[in-house]
Amino acid sequence: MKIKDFKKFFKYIKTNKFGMLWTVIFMVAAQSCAFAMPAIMANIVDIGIKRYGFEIGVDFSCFSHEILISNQFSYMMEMGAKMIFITLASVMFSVISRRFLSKISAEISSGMRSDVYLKVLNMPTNEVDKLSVSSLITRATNDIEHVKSLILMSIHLLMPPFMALVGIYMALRTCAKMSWIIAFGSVASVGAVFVCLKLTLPKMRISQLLNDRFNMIVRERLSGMAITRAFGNNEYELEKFKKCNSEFTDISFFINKVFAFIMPALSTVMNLISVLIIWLGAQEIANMNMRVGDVMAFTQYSVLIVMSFFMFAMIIGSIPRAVISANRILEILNCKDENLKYETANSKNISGKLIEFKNVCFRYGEAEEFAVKDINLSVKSGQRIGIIGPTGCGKSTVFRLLLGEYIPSRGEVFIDGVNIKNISRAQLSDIVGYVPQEPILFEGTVASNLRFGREEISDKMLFEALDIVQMNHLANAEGIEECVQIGGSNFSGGERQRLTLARAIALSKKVYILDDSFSKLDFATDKKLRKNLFEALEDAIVLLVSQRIGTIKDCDKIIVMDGGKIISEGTHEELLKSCEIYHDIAKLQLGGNF
Amino acid sequence: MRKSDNKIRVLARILRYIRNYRLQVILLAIFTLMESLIFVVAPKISGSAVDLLSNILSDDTGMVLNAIFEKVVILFGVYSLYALSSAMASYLGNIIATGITYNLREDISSKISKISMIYMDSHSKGDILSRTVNDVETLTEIFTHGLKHIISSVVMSVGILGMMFTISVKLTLISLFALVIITFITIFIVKCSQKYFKKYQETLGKINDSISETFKGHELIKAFGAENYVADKFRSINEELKKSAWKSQFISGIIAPTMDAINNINYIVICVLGGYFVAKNSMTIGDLSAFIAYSGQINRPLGQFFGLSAIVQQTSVSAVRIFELLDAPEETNKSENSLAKSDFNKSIEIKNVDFGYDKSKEILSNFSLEIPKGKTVAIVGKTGSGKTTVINLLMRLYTVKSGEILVDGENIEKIKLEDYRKLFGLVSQDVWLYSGTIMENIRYGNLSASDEDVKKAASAVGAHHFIESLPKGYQTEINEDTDNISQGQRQLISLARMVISKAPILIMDEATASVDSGAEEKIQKSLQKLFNTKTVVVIAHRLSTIETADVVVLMGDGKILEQGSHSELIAKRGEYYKLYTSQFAESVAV
Repeated sequence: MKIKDFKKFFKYIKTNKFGMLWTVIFMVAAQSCAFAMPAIMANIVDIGIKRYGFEIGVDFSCFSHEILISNQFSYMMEMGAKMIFITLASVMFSVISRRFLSKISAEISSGMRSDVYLKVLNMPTNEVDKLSVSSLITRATNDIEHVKSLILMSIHLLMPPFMALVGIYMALRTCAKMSWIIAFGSVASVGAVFVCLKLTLPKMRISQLLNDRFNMIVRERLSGMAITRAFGNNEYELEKFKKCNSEFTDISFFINKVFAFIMPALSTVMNLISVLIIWLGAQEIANMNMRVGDVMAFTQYSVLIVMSFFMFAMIIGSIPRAVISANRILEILNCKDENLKYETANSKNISGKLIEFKNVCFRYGEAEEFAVKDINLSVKSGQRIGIIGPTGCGKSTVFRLLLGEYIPSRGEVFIDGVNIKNISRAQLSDIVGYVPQEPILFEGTVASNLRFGREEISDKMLFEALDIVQMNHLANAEGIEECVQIGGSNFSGGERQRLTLARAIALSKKVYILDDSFSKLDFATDKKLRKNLFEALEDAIVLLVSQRIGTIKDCDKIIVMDGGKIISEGTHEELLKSCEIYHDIAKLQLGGNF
Repeated sequence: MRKSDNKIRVLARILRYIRNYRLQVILLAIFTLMESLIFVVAPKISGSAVDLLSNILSDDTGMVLNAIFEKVVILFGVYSLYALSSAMASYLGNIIATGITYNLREDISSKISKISMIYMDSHSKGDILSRTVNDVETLTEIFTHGLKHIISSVVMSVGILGMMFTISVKLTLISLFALVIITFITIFIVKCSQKYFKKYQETLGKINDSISETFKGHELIKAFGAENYVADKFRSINEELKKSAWKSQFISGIIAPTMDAINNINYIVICVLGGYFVAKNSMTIGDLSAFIAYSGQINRPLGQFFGLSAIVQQTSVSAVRIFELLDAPEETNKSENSLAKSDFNKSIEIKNVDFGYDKSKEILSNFSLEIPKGKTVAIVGKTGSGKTTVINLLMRLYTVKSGEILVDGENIEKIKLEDYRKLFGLVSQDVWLYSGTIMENIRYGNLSASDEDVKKAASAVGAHHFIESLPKGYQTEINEDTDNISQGQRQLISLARMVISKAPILIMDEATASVDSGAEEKIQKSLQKLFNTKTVVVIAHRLSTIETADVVVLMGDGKILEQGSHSELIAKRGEYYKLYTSQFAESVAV
């Protein structure tokens, strides 16, 4: 990790530089007030209480005892008023600096969150898959908070050295001879922190891993309960759990043990300092170098200084953790945007009547192998095309090329004779409707899910779409306002799939890509739905991607893919005769009598 | 009434966990007491040392210095003792906390082995996971610091207040007055910020949902060109979050400076008034410095004392959640009759069974089915017709409401659960593999199997070849998001796991999800082989499975609609024929 890599984060410091500056200024102001206090108190003790007034040229001896006391008291009152004034100022400064701090803290995290979010939104889908959705989510939530604290720490890192400097100045002013005590205290407390971190940091990493493992074991046991019981493996699972539990317990025990000693260690250092100061201070007083109040003030300054060194060490110690998070966010921010450059913005109205793939090849990033190779395909309005093949045969790459997610590495894709490179994503999404394999719903209402940002869709259009997908019971004014919970959890798998279909057909498109979109429907519904659906889509181009022959066998043309290539194409009957692989699949899936 | 009753019971149960650590708890109490007492006494001692300081010049310097040296030595000893007892108390707290956490986790673990499936159905896995992980952690906290805090805050509050009173009643009353004000202000500010905190938490949840929705639906959003739509939604939540975040942070942030201010004012008043008393000779300067130290310290234990109620509140919520899990109903396993053999002779019979997952809704009513040894029974029907329920009852994952299930004429409830289940090998629809190597996953079916046995089982289902072709072969790690193994290959592994178990009855919920054709062929072949050698109950989706079954059972609404071999049922031209033609019509026609 180089400083250069972290340049991306400077942006957040830069946009908030005034806020940060004010925070620091007011923090320093508030702290300075705190530093003034012990000195004033020393004066109260030494001048107000003890009669060392002569030292500053006030001769109290000419007063009677009564007058003396009242004089001392008024002096103390004056000092007290001064202190109260300073205190109030200090509170005001703290509150103001707090205000700036909370503001920039919220500003930084929301800015960073927004950047990461938009970045991911613009990433190519294969990058998202590569980094994995769950990891991206943790990065956009937890890691951002860690990096934010890292940035705010840069402010807090300024404070302890400042406090130490001021403290040292004040302490030296009272008694330079005893300053070695402060040095000793600071070194000792910082040393204690570092020993503690040195011992625990590597263990903390292991502890994190064990924590993940522990969660995983519990999760697996809960999801595999039926299997575990079926195989009578309860004992085995108990053993496995126990082993992880012991390891996890041991390591947390070790970490807590080390931390159990750090606070006592710190308090020992502090107390040792104050005892030393009393002892050495006594000598200084005896030699008339110091006054009692000075000793008390010196003690307080020493404690402040040692504390600030301690804080400094603790903050430094928490940096490695935040740096890990920073790196995880950088991984996202450094990701390339989609390389979609529309060579010339296209104003021509594309009606999506003809799709052509001409010698299309595509490879992901720097991959050696092509994901699809030499794809040639031509589809007209009203045609239904089935694409079949095993996992990884390049089916999904073909439709992603058509969705404009990827640009062909070689060859061209045309829609109505216009190169897809020259069609903007917005234009494309007007033409192409897509239904994913996994039905995805968003929190909101049925209507908001079906509209999905396309406000031009009227309620009537929603009703029609819901009718087609056999969800008539929702096709009314109340039905479409029904709540959809996160992930559509209040709908069954089949219902979710039908709603995603309805979303795609709510606005009529010219081209439809259906990626195994009937898998969760039971067969009776499926059949009726398909009949209605294909009637509604009669004039459109429909690409059906599937691994099931039953889904695609009625298509006008079926394309069999394997290893990124089209190995055969034709109707169901033709393929049964001409394509051996197709024949085999059909035999397996449809039984003996196809 | 019940609620407080509950609380006492929860407390009693927590105490039961502490009981194993009686000695440690007693030692902890002693060390904490020592720590607190020293904490209370030390300022008084150092105060007397400060008193001596002010006498250095007026009295015999040498003698005073000697006296100070004495005090310094005493202080040094006392502080060492303080550090020691404080460290020991923390250390003991750590022992107790980690030990109890370990025990709690083990108890939950063994509970999970026995918990009834009905409980699992009505609780989300996430919730149970959170009870096992988060709630136990919350409870740990009270053992690590809580015990110590309870003892020390009480001892210190009482002790310090006592010391303050002995030094000066007037000054103590002033300090207490400041404390009351601080408390009220804190409560006021906390109340004010509560609103914003709640808002902040809610918005935080919303933004996390929004982020995960978008990332999961990435491809879809792009295809619909809905980037701006979702980004706008996100932006408005993000803006809302920013507002509530800074407000809640600011308001809670001013608590500390305000408290500091009041403390400082209190300190000043004590300094000035105390100074006046000292000047009037009604107080020594050492007493004043001790009193200043005490009034600075009283906040911490009192704050802890007030904070305790919040901690206890939080802990008792977690404790209740943990004990709720530990009290969850278990599988019925009363019988001690063991099954002599690991096989059965004639048949398994389901007789007049009624069953529903909850009381209000019956899934199976008066259901009967015979599964003869060596035969393959295929269950078909629409979703929700009760197919999976039949399998669940057969496996004894649930208990029948009325009626009985018999193995060779003996009621299964009279047979030891572990023995009974040895009869079955299960392949579920969602293939469940755990994180570990392929070798370990197959061996899961029979833990005593050798590596050779595993390979044989894999060969038997035709999985050996693809496993060997993986770079690490049988040592390939499988985890939650492995993508080097396809869904079909996962299914082959689960079949191998079934085969190695040597169970006489195979129960299978066929996967509906698409499997690539290469793996599918292998699965089909290995299934055929299994069907010929075992008793099989299968929820069938594949035509080939249905056709080769000895008995096909068509279910609808918890009842058997039709039963017979495939060709018989077709010939009957009834419900089954209708379903068959609707599903596979075209393929028949070709």
